[in-house]
Amino acid sequence: MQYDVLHEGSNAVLLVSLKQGEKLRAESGAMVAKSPKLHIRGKMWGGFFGAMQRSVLGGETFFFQEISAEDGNGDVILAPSLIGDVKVISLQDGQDYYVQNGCLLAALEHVEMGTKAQKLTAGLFSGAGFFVLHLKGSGHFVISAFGAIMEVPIPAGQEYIVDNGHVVAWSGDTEYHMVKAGKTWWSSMTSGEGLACKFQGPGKVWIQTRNPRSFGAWIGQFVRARGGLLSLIG
Amino acid sequence: MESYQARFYDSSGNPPDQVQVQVVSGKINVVGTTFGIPFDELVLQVGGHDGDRVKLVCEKESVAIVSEDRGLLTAIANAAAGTELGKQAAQADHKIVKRGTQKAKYWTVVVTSICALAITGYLLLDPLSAAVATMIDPSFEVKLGEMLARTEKLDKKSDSYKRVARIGNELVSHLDKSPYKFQFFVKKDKEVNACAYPGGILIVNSALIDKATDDEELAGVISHEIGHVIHRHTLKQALHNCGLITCLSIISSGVGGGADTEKLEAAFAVAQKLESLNFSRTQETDADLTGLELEVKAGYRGDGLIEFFRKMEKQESSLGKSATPLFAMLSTHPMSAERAARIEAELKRLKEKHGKN
Repeated sequence: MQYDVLHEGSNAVLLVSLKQGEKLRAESGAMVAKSPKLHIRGKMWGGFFGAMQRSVLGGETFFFQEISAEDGNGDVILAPSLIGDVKVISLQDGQDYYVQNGCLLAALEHVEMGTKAQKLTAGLFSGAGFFVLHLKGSGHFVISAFGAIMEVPIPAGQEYIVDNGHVVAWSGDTEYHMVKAGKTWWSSMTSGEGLACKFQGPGKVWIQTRNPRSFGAWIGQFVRARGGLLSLIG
Repeated sequence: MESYQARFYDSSGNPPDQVQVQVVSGKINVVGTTFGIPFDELVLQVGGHDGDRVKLVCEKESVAIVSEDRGLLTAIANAAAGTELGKQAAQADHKIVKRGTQKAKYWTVVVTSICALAITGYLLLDPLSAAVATMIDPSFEVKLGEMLARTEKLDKKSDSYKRVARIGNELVSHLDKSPYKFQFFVKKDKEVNACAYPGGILIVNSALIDKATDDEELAGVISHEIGHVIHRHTLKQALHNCGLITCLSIISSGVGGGADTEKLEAAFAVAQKLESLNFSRTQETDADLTGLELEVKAGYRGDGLIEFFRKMEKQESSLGKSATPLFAMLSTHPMSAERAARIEAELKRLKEKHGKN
């Protein structure tokens, strides 16, 4: 199986070349184009309960698509819904990674996926939600994000602070907790940053250069709200 | 010599190497290499998403060893007993065990809190929807009822319509002061049913009129529906179905009649079709008792509702399961023995009160 990220940047897509007998799993609706010899079908990754846990708790889609080269070699192009970059991360036996809901574009080879609950403060304020995807096994997985994706290694004994809403994925050996972005609560709030995620090395964190929620809020000011239930309960 | 599975991080930022480590005479050795870190250069931490990973950090060499094997902690605690590292290892081991227990407690608290909130919300919904109903002007109900009635193809000319309107108006004329202007309509429908829209619009299906033997039975059904209107059951049940958030929003924003009616209409549209609302047992009893009083005042016998339901139940059982959808009223307003006994007792009391036999 060979893969390549094309049009890196805002309009990145993933091109995967599958040899006969190989298969991959991708986010529902991610396929852009494929060779006729490749078969595509919806799959409940991890069985019914695994899919339920992922969709209900993790906010991911219930079905993933499985693209398999049953009748011969072929290529498939995958793209995320959001405007932004995609990045391939290598996963070796013994390692594990956490990925924010909706940021997993595809999993290649022997990647296993589960859902893990976050701490209450992290679930409320990190922007990653209460449940995150937990990946382990061996192979590669592909993350997608809003804007560009930056890989930040955090050496042993060091810390790194990421604004909430920008975290995409992180390695299992690192952990984070919520802190105020500034020195004091006043400076945190007046700077417009509020809370941030403080990661502890060793490990890596992948961050997106744009915050989808901030972008949504920015767009929201130009969209006139209409009457009805939303304005009633909003 | 026991080996422990671990990951070795160096300062390059590359992914870690899978290694085996051993605890050997004051050092942690990486198996297969000559690399070892003396105990006095190590700082021990516990981390990872679940707080169950042992991190041995050597700042001097800018490296770290991470392991999920608690055996490594025990080995360090034994080998470095009496030193700072040994103390850290013993504390870390205790912390990991304690964290496991805390995690179970944490989830118990979270699940219990969610259940408690859900139960409280459910229990609060009835009194809240009743409280919110009092904040809504009856004129809104009238508007809503008229709006809903416009979507139905209603019969306002046939003999059936005239019969229903005659009985309905007769019953209403014995009502005390009411903010509602009652209107009676007939809908051509195979289902034996009748419904009350908010604000006083009552619709009786043609199949129900056909099944009613006499005016007594029809008066029993119509007076029951009038009872639902008077007690504002349709409004309360629609608010109940809209949910806690809508009720709280109405309370906090003080939505009443007039300009805010659009918001309420939108909320009701998503709540449920008003025809298919299921009333509570208490609401059915209230409607029965109010309807019964009205019937007696208007000079009806008062047993029409019971008679009609008993007849319908017999017909439904003789026709079999295929007929069940046509008798939807029986499932939404079941005439249990308890309900019939309550109606009969009330009827007896009312007749004694009004001096009738």
